[in-house]
Amino acid sequence: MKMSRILFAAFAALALTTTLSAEGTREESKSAGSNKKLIVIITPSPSNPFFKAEAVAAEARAKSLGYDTTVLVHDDDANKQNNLFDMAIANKAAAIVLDNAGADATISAVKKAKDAGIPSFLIDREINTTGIAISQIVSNNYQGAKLGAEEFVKLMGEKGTYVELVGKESDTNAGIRSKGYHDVLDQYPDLKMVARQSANWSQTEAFSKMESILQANPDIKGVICGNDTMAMGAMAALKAAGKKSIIVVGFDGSNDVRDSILAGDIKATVLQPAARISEMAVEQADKYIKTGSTGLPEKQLIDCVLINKSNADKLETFAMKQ
Amino acid sequence: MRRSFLLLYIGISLFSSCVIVKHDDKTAGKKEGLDIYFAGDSFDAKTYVDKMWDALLIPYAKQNAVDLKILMDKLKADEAGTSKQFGKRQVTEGAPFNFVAKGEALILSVNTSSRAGTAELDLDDDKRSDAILQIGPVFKGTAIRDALPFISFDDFVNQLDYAALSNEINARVRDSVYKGFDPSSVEGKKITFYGFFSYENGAPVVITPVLLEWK
Repeated sequence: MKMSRILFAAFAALALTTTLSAEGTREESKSAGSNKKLIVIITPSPSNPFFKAEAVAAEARAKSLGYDTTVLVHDDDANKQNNLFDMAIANKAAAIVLDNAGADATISAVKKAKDAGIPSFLIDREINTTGIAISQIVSNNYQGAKLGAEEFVKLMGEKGTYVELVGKESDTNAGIRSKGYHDVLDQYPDLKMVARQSANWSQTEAFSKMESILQANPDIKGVICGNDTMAMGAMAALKAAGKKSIIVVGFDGSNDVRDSILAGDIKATVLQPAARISEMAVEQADKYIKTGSTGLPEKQLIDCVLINKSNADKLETFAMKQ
Repeated sequence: MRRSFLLLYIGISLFSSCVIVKHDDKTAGKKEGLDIYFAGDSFDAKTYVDKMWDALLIPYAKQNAVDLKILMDKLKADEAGTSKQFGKRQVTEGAPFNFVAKGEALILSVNTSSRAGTAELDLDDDKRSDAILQIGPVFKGTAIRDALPFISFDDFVNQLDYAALSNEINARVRDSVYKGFDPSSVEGKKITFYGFFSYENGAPVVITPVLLEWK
């Protein structure tokens, strides 16, 4: 048993090395001999700027509050996430800030940390249980999706044909957003969905899917997308087909879509305040480490903000400029 | 030891994939060939609202509603203080405060060009619109859910269940508060109401009613 534990730790260390070399930008900033407490930050891949913004904001806030930080990437792989938790436990982290790799798959990892006396602070996505994480600061994807859909309905004049591009089918947020969209759109009988396809969050896939959908449905009036990268792909395909005036709405609040909105192409998106959510998690971790309580309920649902031509110029890297 | 664990893991994987297939067989969750993900049926919002509506929600509204005109004046004069005193929200930042209010009003006009229909309310007999009443059939927002102190997001498995509750509350407003409602016949009529709203400075106050009496 002891042997297997050592093997396990070695494996976890190997997994970290892989992460470090694969990502290049990841770093462990705990300096030798430092007696600062450690906050471990674990997110999906920073190749999506949304997750990068999360990690950067959490790290900056933790450093400003006097902590050492380790930033790790689970690549939406629950096994890898589990290994990273073992590492955080072995390194005696004071707290873990996590954008998790699955609402059910993550429960055991967070529980393991709790049993080792390490509190977890979840950001962006929730897990399907309470009482094991200290905070779950959840981006209200459902509310955001309803905001986006309500704006889409308005832009469409409550009628006409449309296409929905959904995210990766295995991803909780793809489902939540699609449900939020339809809970609004399906209340308008004159809005008709002519195609609904997954483009797996991908810009290139959205481009090719949009091209083929257009061939079958040349007269569509709008496209509602589960995220911004798919909205960018759809918009590019529409422009290439000379159909720039078709209404496109995205989700996330990326700088790319901001620029597209300001240029008059994509019409709207929904900002998830990723940077602020990360900072809140670190602030609550700090309070918990110092006082043993955050003074707040575990589950905190953070509203999204509608972005359109009226406020797009204030958007910068997943935050609104004051 | 490790091998048996691996076998167990494979066993669990096989077992759970069987469950997933079974779920996929249900056509109710399907839309255009794609799964409407997480459209689970573990949470029964209708029963929840049935139990809550008469027993908790209506008594709460009657006991705690503040006169809408007075509340709006207070909010204009001191938003932070009034929000702290009368408003509710689940989080400490980034969301509007929610209020319960009551009043008498004259229906100045009705707008049904959108399915999210509205009526303009005159609260002080100056024939000018002071607030907006949602009349449906599409009702927006989560003001009712978010204003009730006995509902906490902590008590729900996830945001979809929490959202399902709000949708069911709005459906109850449509089916029960507005039962038999004909928007073409209400212009110029007087009402007394109990209702909820989310306050955002600069935006009109939009009331979602839970009790409506037509005069």
